[in-house]
Amino acid sequence: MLKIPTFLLCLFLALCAAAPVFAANEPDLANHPIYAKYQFGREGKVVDMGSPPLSAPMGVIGGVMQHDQILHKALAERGWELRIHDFLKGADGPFFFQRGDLDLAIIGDFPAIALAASYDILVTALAKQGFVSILGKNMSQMAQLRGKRIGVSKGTVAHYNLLIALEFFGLTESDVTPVFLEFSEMPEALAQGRVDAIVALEPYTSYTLKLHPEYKVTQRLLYQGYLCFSKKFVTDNPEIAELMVAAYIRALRWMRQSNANLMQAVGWDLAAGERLLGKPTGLSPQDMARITTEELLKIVQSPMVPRQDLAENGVIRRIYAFLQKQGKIPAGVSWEKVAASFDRTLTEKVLAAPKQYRLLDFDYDK
Amino acid sequence: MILAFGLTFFLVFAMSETIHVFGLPYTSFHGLLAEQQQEAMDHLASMASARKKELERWIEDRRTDIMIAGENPSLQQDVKTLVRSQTSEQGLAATTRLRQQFDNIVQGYHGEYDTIELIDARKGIVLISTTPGEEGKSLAPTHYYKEATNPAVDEVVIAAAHEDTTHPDLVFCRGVQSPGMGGENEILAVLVFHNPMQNIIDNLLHQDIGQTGEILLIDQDRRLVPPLRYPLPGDKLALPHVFINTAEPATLASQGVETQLIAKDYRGVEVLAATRHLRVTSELGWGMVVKMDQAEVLAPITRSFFFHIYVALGGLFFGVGIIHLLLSYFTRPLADLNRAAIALQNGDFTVRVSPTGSREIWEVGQAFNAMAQRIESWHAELTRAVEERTHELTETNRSLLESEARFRSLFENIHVTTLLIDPDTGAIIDANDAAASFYGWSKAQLRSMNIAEINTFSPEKVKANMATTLAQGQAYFLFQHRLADGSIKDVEVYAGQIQMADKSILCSIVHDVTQRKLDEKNRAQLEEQLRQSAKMEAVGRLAGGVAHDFNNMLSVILGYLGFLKEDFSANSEVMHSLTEIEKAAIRSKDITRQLLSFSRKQTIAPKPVDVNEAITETQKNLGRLMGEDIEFIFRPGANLGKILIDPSQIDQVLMNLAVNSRDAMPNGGKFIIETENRLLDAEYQRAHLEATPGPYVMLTVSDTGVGMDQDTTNHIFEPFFTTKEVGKGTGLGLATVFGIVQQNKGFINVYSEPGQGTTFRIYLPQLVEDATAGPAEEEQEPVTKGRGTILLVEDEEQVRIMTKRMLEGLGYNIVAAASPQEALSLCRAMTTAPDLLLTDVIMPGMSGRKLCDTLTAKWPTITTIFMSGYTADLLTPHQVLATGSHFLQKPFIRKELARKIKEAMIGKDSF
Repeated sequence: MLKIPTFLLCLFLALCAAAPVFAANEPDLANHPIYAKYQFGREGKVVDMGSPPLSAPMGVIGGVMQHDQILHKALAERGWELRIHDFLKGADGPFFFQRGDLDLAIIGDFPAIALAASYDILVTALAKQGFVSILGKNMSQMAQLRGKRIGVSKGTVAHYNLLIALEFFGLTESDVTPVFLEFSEMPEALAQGRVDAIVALEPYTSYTLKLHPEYKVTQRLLYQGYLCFSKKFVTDNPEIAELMVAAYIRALRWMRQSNANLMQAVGWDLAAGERLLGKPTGLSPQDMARITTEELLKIVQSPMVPRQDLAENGVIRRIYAFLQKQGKIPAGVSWEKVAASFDRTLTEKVLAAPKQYRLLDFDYDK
Repeated sequence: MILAFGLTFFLVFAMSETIHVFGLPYTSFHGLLAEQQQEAMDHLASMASARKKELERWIEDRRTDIMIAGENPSLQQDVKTLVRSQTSEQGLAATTRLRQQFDNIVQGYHGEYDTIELIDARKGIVLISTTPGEEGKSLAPTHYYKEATNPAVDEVVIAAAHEDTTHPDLVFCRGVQSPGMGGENEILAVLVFHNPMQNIIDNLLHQDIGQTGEILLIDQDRRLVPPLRYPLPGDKLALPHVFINTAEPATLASQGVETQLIAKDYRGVEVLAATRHLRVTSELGWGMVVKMDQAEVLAPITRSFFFHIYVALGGLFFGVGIIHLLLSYFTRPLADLNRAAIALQNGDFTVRVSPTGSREIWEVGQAFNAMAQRIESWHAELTRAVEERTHELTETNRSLLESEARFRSLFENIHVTTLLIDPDTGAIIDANDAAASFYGWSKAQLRSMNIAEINTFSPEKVKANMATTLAQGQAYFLFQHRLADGSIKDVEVYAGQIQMADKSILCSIVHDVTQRKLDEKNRAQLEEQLRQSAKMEAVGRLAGGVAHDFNNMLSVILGYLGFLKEDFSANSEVMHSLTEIEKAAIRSKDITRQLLSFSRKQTIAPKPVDVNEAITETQKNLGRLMGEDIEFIFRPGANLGKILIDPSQIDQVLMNLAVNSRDAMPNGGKFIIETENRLLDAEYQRAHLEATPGPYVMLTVSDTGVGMDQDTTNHIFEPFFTTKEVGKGTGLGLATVFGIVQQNKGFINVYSEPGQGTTFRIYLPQLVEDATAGPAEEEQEPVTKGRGTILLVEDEEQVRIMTKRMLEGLGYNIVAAASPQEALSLCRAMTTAPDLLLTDVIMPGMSGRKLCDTLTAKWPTITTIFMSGYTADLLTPHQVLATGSHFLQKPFIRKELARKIKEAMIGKDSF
C-alpha cells in the first residue's frame, strides 16, 4: 500500500508527467513548486545549465560538471558563476530555454530537435545513445500491444518513441490505451496490473526488469541525448562556452578513467535525484554505473553528433519528419534550419586542444 | 447384458480414442504452435542479444587492437622517423620494424586482418602495407583515412566493400601522433587495419543458427554489410554495400529498432526475426537481423502433431478391430435374436431364428420363435378385425361427408339468411352467402363477429334469448338487426339447436320483415282512417236522416206559420208570437242545414273559385270576427289554381275555422291563412288514404292558441263534439268543415300540440278546366201568383197537404199524389200533361227521379222540381244537380216555393 506522502508525490509527478516535452505549450512550469524556486542569473555572469539527474546517464554528466573545480576556477577567473538547475526530466528544459533562463542543458533528442526548430540553439555534443524500451508481461511482439493499456510519460521522448513504434507496425495511438504516468510510477503500475506495458527509459527499464525478471522487452528504440547551448550565449560568450564543452568532455574522460570515478559520479547524480524528489530514488548505483557505461562511455568516444544521423535516413532527419507530421514543428520550418543547429565546431575545437582546455586534468571536489 | 457391456465398452473406447486422435491434437495444436513460436522468438531474441554483445565485444577488441598499436610509443617513434625521413637509414629501419610489426599482427590474429597500412597523413601516400604492391600509392583526399587525420577524432571505422566487391572490408583507422605529446600534436600518419570480417561471418553470423537461420548486418541505408548466407532467388549474388534489403525486419533494424516480429524476409519467406542495433562507434551504427524460417521453427510441432495422429489412428483401428472380433464371437446369437426382434417389431411376423450358441441363448431362441408364432396368429386375427372396422368407419365417414356436403350445399345455396352461432359466446361460427348479401359484411367478416354486434338488444338479452332457444330447442323472435351500412332492419328469427362436432350450436334463419312491418303499420293507419271515415259516414247518415225528418217537420211548421201570418195583422200579439215561432223554426232550419253540410247531404252549386279572391272578400268579416287582440295574417300563394266549390262553402269553412281559432286564443295571438299549390303523388296517397294524386290547392289555417292533445284531435270532426262550455258551441263547426271538404273531394289534416297552437291543412283539388259560370245570383222578387197544373208527389202527408195548400194559394191547380205509383196512376187518367212535376226525391217504391224519367218519357216537355230534405244524392251520384233539373231544399217557405216554380217555368206561357 502506498503511503500518503508517496502517493502525493506520485500524484505530483503524474501531474508533471502530463506536461508535454515542449514547455512552450505549458506555461505553468514557471509556477512549478520545484522550478519556481530556481534562481536564474539572467542579468549577471552566471552560466545557467539544466540537467536531468533522474535520466541516466545524462544527469550523471551534469553532476560531474557541478563538481568540476577546474571549471569553477576557470569561470571564476573570468568573473562567472555556474548554476546547474536540476529538472525532473530533460523535456522540461526547453521551456526555460525559450524564456531565456538557461544557457545550456542536456536534453533528449525529440525536445532538442523541436527546440531547434523554434529557438536558436547549438547542439554541440552527444550526451547519450540509449534505448526507449517497451516492456510488459507475456509480450514479445508489438502486434500484441493492440488494445492494451500502456503506461507512458506524456510528451516525453518515450511518448514520441511509442508513437513511432506503433507507426512502424501500422498501429496508431487509438489502437492502444495510453495511461500517462511518471517514469518512477511505471514499475509499480505494471506490477499492480494497472497497465499491461510501459514505455520506459533508463534507469527505469533496468529497474523494472530487475524487480520483475519475467517481464519482456517487446521493443527498444534508439534515442540520444544532446548537450545544447543557447546560440546567443555561444555567440556572446564563446570562451565560456568552450570552457563548458571542455568540462563536459573532461567529465566523460574522468568517468572513463576509473570505476571509482564512475561510482563517484553516479553517487552525485543519485544524491541530486534524491534532493529533487525529496526521497531516495530507489535506483542502485551499480545499475546507474552500468547504464552510464553502456549508453555513454563505451559508445561516445568523441562526443560529437554523428554525421550520419543528419543524413537522409539518419535518426535526426527522421525525428524532424515525424515531429513535423505531428504538427510539433511548423510546416514552414525547414530541415536546413534544424540541421544547422547541429554544429560540431565547438567540440572539435576543444578536442583538438586537450592541453589548452585541460581535457586530461581532473580536479573534482569529493 | 454381454451385448450392452460390449457396446458400452466399445463406445467408451471409441470416444477415448477419438479424443486422443482428434480432440487433444486439435485443442492443443494451436497452443503448441504459439508456444513453440514464442519459444523460438525468445530464443531468437536471446541469440540476437548474445550475438550483438559478441559483435560489440569483437568490435571493441578490434578498436582496442588499433588503439594499442596506434598509441604504442615505439610505433609512434618509428612512424615519426619514417614520416620525417623515409629514405634515411633510420627511416628504412623504422620501415622494416613497422612492417615486421604489421606482419606479426596479421599473422598473429589469424585472419582478423588481411592488410595493415600506414598512410602519410599529410601526403596521403601509403608508407607501409602488408599487401604487396600497395606501398607508395597515393590516395585521394576523399579517402576515408582523411577523417582520421582530425585530432578531435579518436578513430574511424569504415565499412566498405573489398576491392573485388564480393567481400566486406571493415576498416579501422587511427591517427598516429608523435610520442609523448598527449594528443596535442598533429597527426603524422594514419594506421589502417583492414578486417575482412571472415571470422565474424564464420563464427558469429553463420554458426549455430539452424538450417534456415541467418544473421544480417546492414547500415542505416539498409545496405548489406557482410554477404548473405544464402543466395537471392535465382541464385543471384547479393553484393555487400550494394544490395539494399527492403524487408521489414531490415528496415526496423536500420532505424535502431530492437524488437521481435514475424514477417517476410528479403526472399519473401515468412520468418521469425529479432532486430538489434549495433553502435560500432559514435559515428557508425549497424542494424542486425537474426532470423529463422517459420517453417523450421514449427517443424517439430508439426511433425509431433502428425506423429500423434498416425499413432492414435493406428491404435484406434486396432482397438476397434479387436473389439469387433470379440463382440462378434460373443454376441452373434444375440445379434441374430436382436435382428429378428427388430424385424418382428417392424412387422415381419414370419421371422424366426435358428437357435444356436449356449443353452440359455438356445432357449431364448425357442421362446422367441413361439412368441413370434403367437404374434403372427394374433396379427392375422387383428388384421381381419381392423379391416372390418375400417370398412365400417369408411362407410360412416363417407355418409358423414355426404351429409356434411349436403348440409354445406344447402347452407351455402339457400337464399335465406342463415347464421350458425355458438350459444356459449354468441360468436358467429358461419354465415351463408345470403347472410353476407343481407348484412353487407363478407362471410369472413361475419365469422369474426358476435351476434351481439348485430342484434340491437343488449348483449345480456341476446344471451338470454340464446339460452331460451337452447332450453326449448327452437324459438321464434322478432328482432332488429344492424347491417353493415348502419341501417336497422326488422327481422324475424327462427332459431333452432343443432349438433355439430359434439357441440350444440344455434342455427338462426333470418327473414327481413321490415317492409311487412311497414305495410302493417300503414295498413293499421289506413284501417284507422277507414274506421274514422266509416264512423263519420255513419254519423253523417244519421245526421242526414235526422235532418231529413227535421226538414219535413220544419217544412210543415214554416208552411203553416205562413198561412197563419196571413190571417193576423202585423201588430197583433198573435203575429208577434208567430214571428218568434218562425225565428225558432228558421234557426232549426240552419241547424239542419249544418247537419246536412256535415253529412254532405246539402245541395250545393259548385263553380270555379279563386280561393285567394274568396279569402280577400271575406277578410273583413273574418277580421271583425277575430277581434282586436288577434292579428289576422293572410299569405296568398302565387298563381294559385282555382277549385270547383260552392262559394258559400268556402265562407263556411273559413268562418268555422276562424271561430274555432278565436276561442282558442282568449288572450290574443295570430290567426294566419296561407294558400299554395301542391302536387300530390302516389307516395303521398299511400300515407293518406283519402288523397288522390293530382294538383291541389292547400289552404292552411293556423293559430297560436292553446292547441289540443291527440285525443281531442281524434274527435274534433265529429258532430256535436265540443270542448267549449255548454251553450257556447254546437259542436258542428269543424264537422261542417270536414263535410264540406269531403264533399268537394278534398281532405283535411290537423296538427296540434297543447300550448303550440293548431294548424289545419285543407287540400282541395285544383280545377283543371274552366268551369262554366255558375248559376245566376238569386234575384229577390215578390211572390207572384201563377197558373197551370202542378203534379205534387209527396209521401209525407203533412208536407204534401201543406205544399198543396201553398201551391193552391199561389193560384196553381194541384194534382196531389202520396206516392209515385199513385201519381202515375193519376197521370194515366189525364189527357194533357201537367205543366210541372213537384216531387219528393226519396219515396217508398220509386224515387222521384224514376218518376220524373217515366213522365218525361211520356211528356217530354214536362218540367220537374225535386224537393228533398236530403235527396241530392239521388239526384246525381255526387249530390250535384243535373243540368236542367231543379231542386228545392226542404224546408221551404211559400216565397221560396213560388220563386223556384217561377225559375223552373221560365219560358212557359202558362207560368
